[in-house]
Amino acid sequence: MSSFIQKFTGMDRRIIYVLISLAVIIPLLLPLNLPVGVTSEVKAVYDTIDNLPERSVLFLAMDFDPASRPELYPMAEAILHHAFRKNLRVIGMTFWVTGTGLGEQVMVDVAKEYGKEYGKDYLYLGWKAGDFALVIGMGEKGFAATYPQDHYGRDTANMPVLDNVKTLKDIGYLVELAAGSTIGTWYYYGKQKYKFKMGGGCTGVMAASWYNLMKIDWINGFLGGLRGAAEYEMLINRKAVAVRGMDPQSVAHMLIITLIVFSNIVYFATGANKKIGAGK
Amino acid sequence: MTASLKKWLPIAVAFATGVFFAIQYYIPRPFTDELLSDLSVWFRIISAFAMGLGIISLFHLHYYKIKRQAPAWGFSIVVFLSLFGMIAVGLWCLGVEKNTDTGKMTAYGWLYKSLQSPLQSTMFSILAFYIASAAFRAFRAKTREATILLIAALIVMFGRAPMGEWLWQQAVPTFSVFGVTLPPTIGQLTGWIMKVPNMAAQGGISLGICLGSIAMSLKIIFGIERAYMGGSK
Amino acid sequence: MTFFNESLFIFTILLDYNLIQDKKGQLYLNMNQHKILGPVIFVILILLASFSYAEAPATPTPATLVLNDFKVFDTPDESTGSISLSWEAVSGENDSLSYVVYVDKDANGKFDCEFCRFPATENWKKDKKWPFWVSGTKEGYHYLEVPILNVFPPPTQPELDSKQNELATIKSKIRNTKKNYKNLMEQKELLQKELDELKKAKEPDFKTIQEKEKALGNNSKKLENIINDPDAKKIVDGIPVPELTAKMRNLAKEVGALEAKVDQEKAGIQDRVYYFKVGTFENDKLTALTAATSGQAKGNWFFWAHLNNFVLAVVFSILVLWFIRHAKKNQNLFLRRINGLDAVEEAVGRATEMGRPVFYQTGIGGMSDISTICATVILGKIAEKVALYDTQIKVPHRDPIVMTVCQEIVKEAYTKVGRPDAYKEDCNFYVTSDQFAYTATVNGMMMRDKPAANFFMGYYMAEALLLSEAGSSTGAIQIAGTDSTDQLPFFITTCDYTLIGEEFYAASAYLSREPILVGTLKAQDVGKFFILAALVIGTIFATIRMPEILDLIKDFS
Repeated sequence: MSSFIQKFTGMDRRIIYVLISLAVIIPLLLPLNLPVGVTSEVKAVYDTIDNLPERSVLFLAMDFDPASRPELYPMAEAILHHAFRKNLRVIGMTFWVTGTGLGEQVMVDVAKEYGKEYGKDYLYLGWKAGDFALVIGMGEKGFAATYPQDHYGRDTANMPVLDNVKTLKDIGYLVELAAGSTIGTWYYYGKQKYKFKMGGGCTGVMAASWYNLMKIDWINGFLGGLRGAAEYEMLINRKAVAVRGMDPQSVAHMLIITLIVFSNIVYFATGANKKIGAGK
Repeated sequence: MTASLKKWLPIAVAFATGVFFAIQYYIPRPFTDELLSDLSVWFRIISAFAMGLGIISLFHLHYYKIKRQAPAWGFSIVVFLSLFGMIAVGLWCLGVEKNTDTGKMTAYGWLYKSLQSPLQSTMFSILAFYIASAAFRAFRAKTREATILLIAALIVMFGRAPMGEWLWQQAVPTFSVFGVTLPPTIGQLTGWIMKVPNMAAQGGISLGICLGSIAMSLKIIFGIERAYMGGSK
Repeated sequence: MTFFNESLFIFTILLDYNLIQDKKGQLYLNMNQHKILGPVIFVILILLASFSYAEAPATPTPATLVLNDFKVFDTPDESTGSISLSWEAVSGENDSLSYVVYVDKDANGKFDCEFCRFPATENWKKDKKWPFWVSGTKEGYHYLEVPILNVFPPPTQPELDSKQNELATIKSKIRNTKKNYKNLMEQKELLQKELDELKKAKEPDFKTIQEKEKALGNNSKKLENIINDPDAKKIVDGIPVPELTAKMRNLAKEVGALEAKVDQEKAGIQDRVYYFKVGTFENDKLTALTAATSGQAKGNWFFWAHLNNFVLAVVFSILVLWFIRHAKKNQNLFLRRINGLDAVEEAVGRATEMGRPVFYQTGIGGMSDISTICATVILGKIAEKVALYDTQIKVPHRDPIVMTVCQEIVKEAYTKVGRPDAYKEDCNFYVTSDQFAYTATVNGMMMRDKPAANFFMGYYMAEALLLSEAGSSTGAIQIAGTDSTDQLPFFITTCDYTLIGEEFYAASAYLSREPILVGTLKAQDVGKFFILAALVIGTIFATIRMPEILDLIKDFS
């Protein structure tokens, strides 16, 4: 028994890695189809987009790269589906040069499904060096002045998608999908000055700190990690990648919980808690 | 003269720009925003030149590793091959990932999409394994604080997984007291942990960090802190 | 008046006279014959006369509206030429009542420029996020901002807009025509080829053929547009278009001149006095109107809403400087133990004993990040110990500027302890700027070199756990310090010691015990005490519903 306990508490990491791999692979092959509850912060983003008048502009800042694609790409997809269903105009861009292709891909793929026309229903500005200077430019001088050409090199000056929408002050809603700290740039140089509504999406790791941003009114809601994307897919009645991803997430979570609980039971059962003093 | 200038000029520049940009927050004039965006352009240009320094350092290190045939010098060859290969392909395709006329991917785009992108995603996905092993090792109820950490982590992990929500619903019977359903759902508990103690703790740490940042900024502006100059003297 | 005079004249005659024809056929006037006829004719004439002067029923002149505390003033805290109006709400406001605002450049003008009309239940001052020292009384006051340039735009603006559009069109034409033409020709060839193949097929798919023909038709139309446009045709045929480029240059000059003119006009428009009248509308009728009140927009040089922020910043700065001075006099100021920093000596000693290197990482931030500056400061202290104990240190970098700074710091540390000969230039080296490529490299190095001590100082993102877990697997002692609240939990679970937030900023003071740095720490502690007090007092005031006091500690961005 004591050798088992020793082996268990000192388990080789690689065994845990194998267990996690199985916990992720098996549910992908054998879906569980569990329902996903919706939280208020995701609902807030959904409601805001749902209540936008037809043909108003949704600005989607896709500030992520391939590393955070698994969490943020499904969010972008779900939001675009919702926006195109509501017949909104969408303007997309990114501050991350490595995410340029991802932004383009998601916009083009989703727009194709709804028969949306580039330049009339949606516009992709791509990446441009400038960070906050771009935000200020879009707020003061306007989209066409800051981005005279879009991602494809086409002139933005007379595009129908920008009819009656000159600057950031004219947009209906801005959603910032962030894998980094660009939310600060959008708030300090954007929302604070130009007073548009803003929502967000972030990786699961960052979600804990984004509740504070809601409290201080930077954003009215956000999607946290793959779970947030799954909740949004439930709201728009389109179960896709994110909802499917909840199965492996569930099993992996349960596995980790089981391992932790069991290790603590063993820890207390062996009296190790009394032998070791105040730990670090 | 030169030594004195080398010492005092950076401090003077730091002071002037620091004070100016601290004050510009209180001045509602468009010229401050324009100056800020101009400065960011200058900073980018400087960073681009600094990148040259970094690449020289990289060459230097790996060249000597190959020359001395230090352990794992083969990886240094891979570094050079990858670096020059990507530069050559990038220049040949003029930095374009996709041909906008034909819609076809260029070689540069292929390298990015098939090599760099999956490599980045793979590294990020390693986190899943590392979190599991770190959690298994570290979440032991050794102290009071560790126990609270453990319980909070378990509740949040349970609550953020649909299976956890489903299991809670099946396993925990509910009853109503004065119109309020008890016990709360695991989702509600998770939400409470995220919105109350988590936010409070984050706020507290952030307040300390902000004060520390202000103090550090003041030290830099007044020339007390000179580490950015490459030395305390 | 003429008709009336004539009528009166005729009446007078008819009243007193009538025309009688005598037996001889001569007409003469017979007075006083028709006494009844006279008055009737008189009334008819009066009526006729009055109709000639009849006007439309007179519109009742709106009553003079007296609004309590009606003010017209420069909008505070902005510089875009806006004038604000505020007035106390009148009693009995309801949905049927609307306010209307008129603007004019002249106090005695017609005031026919209506700025806006809104229901009396909208536009409240309390919705404006201003502190009490800027807004004054908020409850029960209407508020409106009038951007003057929107009301009186520069007259040259439409001409400028049109010229700018023309310029953009020409630029686009020069830039894109040839490219578009080439693409369209290639597309045409491709479509034609596909169409021919489809038609030759044994079982032609008529639907697809139709679609291809439609696409070909559209393509031909676009090509035609280019050919029919003389300027575009010149570009396409490769004929130089000096006229077009000259036209573009001239247009650019014109646009420049117009922009200067518009700026001048804007300055002129903003820099004058305007007059405002507020009226009330009930059932679509203007019922009352105030007298004209003047106001002028002025650019502001201070953001009064940030006054509390400014005062706090100044007070805190003075505190820092005062405590620095105090610390110089009193060298024994108390600092609580920070376990992580006490363990630095232990970690470096362990590395020396085991003959393995020390790995130090400065995070992913640039030199402009406070956390990176703190990390470089701590590196200096650790480098001194490493130099003293003759241990190897490796500092992989993600930012070349940080690398150059750290090179100097480490070199100076070695020189300071008298070991300049032991310094190796290569101890600070650049890896890559890519987050995960950097992580993979450093992980690999940790696996191969098996450092005895790892220091993770600075700002980290997702790579925090990757680095610390990989380091932990090698059995190294790990000390982390970061201000990134997202990554703290990962460092806490994987590292032996973690400096949380402010402890990391305090590290330089703790390690060196320099009075200047310790004094700053003390000032921070006082600042924290002030924040705690503000939290408690603010909670009390919010509970007893005195929110105005909370304005003193609010952010009004």
